[in-house]
Amino acid sequence: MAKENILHSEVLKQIEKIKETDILIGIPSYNNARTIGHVIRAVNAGLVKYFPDRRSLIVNSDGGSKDETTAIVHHTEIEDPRLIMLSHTPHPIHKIVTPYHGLPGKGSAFRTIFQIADNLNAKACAVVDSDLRSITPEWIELLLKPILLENFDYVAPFYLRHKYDGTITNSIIYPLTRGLYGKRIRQPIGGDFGFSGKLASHYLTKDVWGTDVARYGIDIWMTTTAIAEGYKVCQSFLGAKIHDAKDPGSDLSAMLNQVLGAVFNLAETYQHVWFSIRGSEPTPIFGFRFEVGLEPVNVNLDRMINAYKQGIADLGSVWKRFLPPDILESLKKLADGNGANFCFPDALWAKTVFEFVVAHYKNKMDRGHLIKSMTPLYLGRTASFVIETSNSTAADVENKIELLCLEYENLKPYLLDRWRN
Amino acid sequence: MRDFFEVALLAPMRRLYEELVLFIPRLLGMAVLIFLGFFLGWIVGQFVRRSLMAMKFDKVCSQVGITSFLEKGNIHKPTSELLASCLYWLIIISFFMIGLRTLDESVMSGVFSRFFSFLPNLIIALFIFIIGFIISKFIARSVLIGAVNAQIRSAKLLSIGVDLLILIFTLSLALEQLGIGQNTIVAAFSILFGGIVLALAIAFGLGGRQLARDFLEQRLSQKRQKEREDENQFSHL
Repeated sequence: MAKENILHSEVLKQIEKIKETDILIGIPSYNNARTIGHVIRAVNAGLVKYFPDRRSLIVNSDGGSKDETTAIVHHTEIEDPRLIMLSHTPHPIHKIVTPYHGLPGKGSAFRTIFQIADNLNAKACAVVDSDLRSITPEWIELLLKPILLENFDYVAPFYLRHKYDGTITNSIIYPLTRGLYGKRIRQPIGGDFGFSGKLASHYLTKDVWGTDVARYGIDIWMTTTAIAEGYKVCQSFLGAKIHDAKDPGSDLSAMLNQVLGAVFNLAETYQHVWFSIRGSEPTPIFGFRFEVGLEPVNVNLDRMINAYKQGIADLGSVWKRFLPPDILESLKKLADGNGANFCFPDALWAKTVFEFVVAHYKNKMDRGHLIKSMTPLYLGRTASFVIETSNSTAADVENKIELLCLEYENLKPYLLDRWRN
Repeated sequence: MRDFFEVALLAPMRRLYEELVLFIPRLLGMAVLIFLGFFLGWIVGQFVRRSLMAMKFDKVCSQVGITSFLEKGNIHKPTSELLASCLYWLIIISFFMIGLRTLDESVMSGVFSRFFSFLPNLIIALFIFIIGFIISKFIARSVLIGAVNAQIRSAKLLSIGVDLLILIFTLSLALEQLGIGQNTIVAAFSILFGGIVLALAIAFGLGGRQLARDFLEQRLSQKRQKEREDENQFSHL
């Protein structure tokens, strides 16, 4: 697809002035006045400290924030005198603040960032979330150095997270991506990535900006495209990811719809890639690993189990259209379990996820309905995970996730069989 | 006695025989026409289906979203087969009507002309009903999944209610197109729909009185404060 220029004339003028850059840091934002100042300062410090001799640019791509976000970005001091004492940079760090074009969402913000990187021939880029509270200048080094010095094309983040945090990643996205494409990338939808200018230009050639990729689907789309199209991929250990509290009104099923919609569409696009892959291989990890204190995550176990039970009671007629009777029967039996007895086995979960992937591919019903109907099952699986790991250490939890991943890998022939027949 | 026998039995029998002699060829003609209708319907149906398949019509329908639209309404047949079936039944019904005309031309000619003038309305009504049916199933499923995800206890009941409401609305539109009980149906629908809206309004008014008061108070106080701020902003002029 031909690249389309989506930048505002003001931005094009700034680009004309800047001409070229070595490093571009993209920060998508929407109502992040509380945290974006800290993120900009950390990014700036990282650039000054670790890349003083490189030409750098910070791009804030905003989704029409109604708070002070863009004003804070404009007024946050880039040339901090304390940092200049630490390390002198011969090149000024430029800053572009621009609203993005297209569907509202993180993906559209990233598209603007890719476009600016492409116009300025950036060698290495990184994107970081604007709601981060745990970002340090070292993140910038860890996300960019594998690209600038080791010729990697894509750097995925490797965080330490609380055992109940990131359950969509732990129960679906990581095991499924690993099982399909054979690369162990622990946080495929981490949100903070490094990538080469070449890969940014390649992303722009894809015609996905009217889909869920333009929203929450962007993270998994970037990771999967990089893996499936043979780019050199690695991970960087960033420590803990602590971000601002999420919007309590945000709808879980809408988020699942966007993320899983993107994962399932990608499985269809890259079927020729994953059909022949068996097992998985580790991906290099950069950075010094250390232990950090993690913020506790509260879970409402009863609510999740009740959601599962209600799903079983009311959505049977929907699932009957694509779930095999034996799986449906096993899911129904689980609903009899209460409290500590509630257990969703790994194999049943992996098979259920595969059935949803296949039903999505075969258009068994409206795709939005299909994925949204998965919400009670996902909550049931999460409840079971919480019960099973209530007394586990971080290492035990990681082992448990590893076992689930192996289950996905072992059941891949089942997926292939269901996909083809 | 012989006259009685002639008048009471033979004459009616003879008349019956004469009518039968006239009727049976017509009946046979009708049967042949209906048979011909089935045969022609089958031939045309097969021809249309195979031609559409050869033109990869189903793939085109799938690409433009017609197939998934039909699937949303629980219709899982390929679009080519669906179109062929419609043509098949249209031909059969048309031949059936022609066949009926052969039975009694004087009576059936009126019916015949009425049928063919009615046919476009019937097709439009059928189209309205099919579209309404598909939309009702889709929206009902959206409501069901949304309500289950929001953990609303009566999710199924809500979904059935929405399904029924849309179906009744669709049926009233389709029947109106056919000119059947226009006023009654529109009035019945208006009463039903108006009743539901009124019930919801009363329920919200009673249940959410405090919420509505808080909301209005907040809105009004914000507006007043903004007006005061605006006044202050321009006070230097």
